[in-house]
This record gives sequence, structure tokens and C-alpha cells, in this order.
Amino acid sequence: MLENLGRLKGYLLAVLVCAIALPIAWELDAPSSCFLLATMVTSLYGGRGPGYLTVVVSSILFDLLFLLPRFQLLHSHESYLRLAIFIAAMILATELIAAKRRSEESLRRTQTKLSQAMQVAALSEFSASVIHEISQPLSAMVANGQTCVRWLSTNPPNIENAPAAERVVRDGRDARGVIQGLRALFRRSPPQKVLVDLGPIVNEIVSLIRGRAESEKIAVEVQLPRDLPGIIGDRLQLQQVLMNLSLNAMDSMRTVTDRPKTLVISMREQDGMVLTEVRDQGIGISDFEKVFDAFFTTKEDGMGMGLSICKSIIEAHEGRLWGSPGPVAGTVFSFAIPRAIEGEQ
Amino acid sequence: MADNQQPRIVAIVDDDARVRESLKHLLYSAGIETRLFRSAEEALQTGELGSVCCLITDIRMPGIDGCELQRRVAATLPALPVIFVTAHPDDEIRGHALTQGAFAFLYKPVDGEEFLSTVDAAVKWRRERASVNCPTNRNQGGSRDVDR
Repeated sequence: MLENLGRLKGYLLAVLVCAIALPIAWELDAPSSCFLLATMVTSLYGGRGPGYLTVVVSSILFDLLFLLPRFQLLHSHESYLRLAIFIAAMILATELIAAKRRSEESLRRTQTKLSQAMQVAALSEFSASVIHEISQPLSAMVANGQTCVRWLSTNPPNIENAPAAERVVRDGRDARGVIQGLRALFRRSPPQKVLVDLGPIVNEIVSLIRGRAESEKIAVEVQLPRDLPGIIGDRLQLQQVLMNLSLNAMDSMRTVTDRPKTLVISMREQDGMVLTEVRDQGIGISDFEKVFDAFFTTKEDGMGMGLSICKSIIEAHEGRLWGSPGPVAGTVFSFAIPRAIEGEQ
Repeated sequence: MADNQQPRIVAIVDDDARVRESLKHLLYSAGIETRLFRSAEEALQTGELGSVCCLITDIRMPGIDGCELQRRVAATLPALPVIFVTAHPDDEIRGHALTQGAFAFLYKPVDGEEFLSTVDAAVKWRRERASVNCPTNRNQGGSRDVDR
């Protein structure tokens, strides 16, 4: 039904374009160019069928009105040649445009299919990761639980090994952590929107990681301009992002021995955005696309949720999070969030 | 039981600390000692695999994976039974591992009792083979009939 309507529109377009082309062609006495243009316009917007309709209508009009002597059906040999070339040009234009349209459509269809296939692949990979992440603590829970039962079913019950029960609880909490991570990843609720100053957040993070930085001999440096504008967002979530990036940076430097270990957190305003960079001198990352995938991790004890959650948080703040190799070594993770506009709250 | 005379030690290779720890305690409750390794590399480097009577490993691990570990172990210690414990249901890998001579292939979360009986059977099987190679050892019985 809709398709028929579309086709009808195409043919109406053909007639309309011819009707517009005719007086102009008459006025300028340039029928070939005007009708050729009409054919091209119709083929481009209406498709092949309407294009041919224009070819037919134009040929008839050309033949009747513009070939000398006027208003006669029979013409000279030369006139027929003119007509033939004119028709050939119009058919060629229609065919070329129609072919281009067809190839574009098939490309679009292929792209749609491809993106669907990629979505399915990503989904199955993601499910496999979820299965893996939940089976690990669940596996430990079952084993710990059964250990507990075995100790308790001895005669007399061996209470000394009761910590097995505590481990069941701990592993259960770990599994809950995975589920909470998933929830945070898919949560649709928008972040709290209040005016947040990123400076104090950085200082908080630095005081939290100082102990670990000292024991791992990492120098922490903060570059914070005094007049950094605030942003509108969720304080806790932004803190989470900054903490995550800082901990990742420190993790990446754990095995580094041949260069000074430094962690630099810098902030500045750039193009109406507040840009934050977390730089490390760590082992670096080879695939900056993959690190944002859920459950992708390079760490032994990592769950691979951190960066994907960070990304979703920053995107919920209408910002952007990306990673790039450091200038000498290591990695730079940057995020930019639009600065708060004066008076906005 | 007769085979409790010698210490029974099994190696566990898994990159997840919780899994290593829980399996260690479970085996301990059955009187089996364990050696824990965070990666296949670590297990191969220490050279302790020569003194264990069963190897329990995950498949997907950073660095050398479980299948490669099995291949390397089979080259040096052909009599060591290998039990896979993995979270990834992959029939192709399972089939491959079993044709390569894996003793059993279990999916996480594993049932503790099934796990213990599999390890027990693997240990017995190992001793049986050792006694065939070395006739001074008593034949301690047991059969390799679990999960094949």
C-alpha cells in the first residue's frame, strides 16, 4: 500500500517535472538540456519507472514542439537523428542514475544485515562473559558450601573449619558484585544533575590512593588550574570514574622497573568542555577499542567491568571517554564533559 | 582406604583466586593436598607438576591456556591425569581435550561430590599406571571409569 503510494508519487513527480521543464525549454529554446535535466531529476528522486515516463513524455514534446517544421509528425532525416540522440542521452541518464540507486540500496541492506550480525555476535560474546563471571564465584560457593557440609557431617562435627561458611558468604557477595556491575552498566536512570566541581574530587581520590602509591613508589602529580569551571553531573559517579582510571593506571605500573612510575591527573578547559587526563607510565594497552568492552580485562583479578561502566557514566554526562598511548610510555585515559553554563543548575 | 598411605597431592591451575581457594579446601576436606598455581606458566616453571598425582586446570586463562598446558604436560608427564574445570560450554574444546587424553572435563559450577569422586578416580588411575611402570608398587586398584 505504502509502496504503491511511493510509486505513484514518483510518476506524479515525472509529470510535474515535465510540466515545469516545458515552458522553460520553450522560453529559452533549449529543449535538449531542459528535458535531459528533467529526466535526471525524475530518475534521481523517483526511480527508474518515472525516469522512463519522463523520457517518453519529453520525446513526444520534443518531437511535436521543437523539431522543425513545427506541429508536423514527419520530419527530415537530420531531425530524426537529433531525436534519437536526445532519447539515447535520456535513457542513458535514467539507467545510470537507477543503477547508482540500486547499488546504494543494496549497500545499505548489506550494512543493515552486517550490523545485525555484529550485534548478535557481540551479544553472544557478552553472554559468554556473563556466564563466566557468574560461574566463578558460584563455583567457589558450591565447593565451599560442600566443604562446609563435609566438615559438619563428621562425627563429631568439625567446627574448626567453619570459615568455609564465611567464604560462601564472601563469594556470594562477589557474585552480587558482578550483578550490580551489570545493573550499573545497563541502568537507564539518568545521573543526578547537580553542579559539581571536579577539583575537590581529584584531591579526594589522591588522598585515597596516596597510601598505595607510596608503598608502590608511584609519584602522584595533580595539574589543576585554579579557575576550572564546574560541570553538571553526579558527584559519586564521577568519583567512581576517576577512582577507576587512577587504580587502573597504578595497576598498569605494577611491573614497571626501568622508568620512574608516575601518575598524572590533569584537568583543563578546552572548547567548552572540562577535559580530564589520567596519565601513567605503565605497560600500555594494545587495543584501545576493546578495553571498553564489558568483561575485557588484562588483569588477573579484574572483572573487566570498570572501563565499560566508566564509559557509560561519562556518556550519560553527555561526555566522551577515550584512551590513547602516552607520549613516551604508558597510557592516557581522557574524558571530556561539557562545562556548566552560568546560571544553570 | 589403601591409597591414603602416601600423601595425595593434586595441582590446581586457575586464574581465579576464589576457585583455587575453594577447590583447595574441598580437596583438603577429603584428605587431599593441593598445590595452587595462578597460571599455566607458573605451574610449568616451578617443576612441581612432577610430584603431583593429578592436574586440575581451567581452559581460558591469560597466557598459556589449559589446552596448551595439557599438551605440554602430556609431552613430559604422560602418566599425569588432567581434569578440566571450565565455565565455557564449548563442545569442540571438550572433544579436543578428551581426544588429547584428558581424564575428565567438568563445567563450572562443579558439583563438589562429583569433583571429588573424579579426582579420586584420577588419583587411583595414576597410581595404577605408576604401578604398571614400576612393578615394586602394590597394585592399588581403581578403574578409570569416570566421566569418559
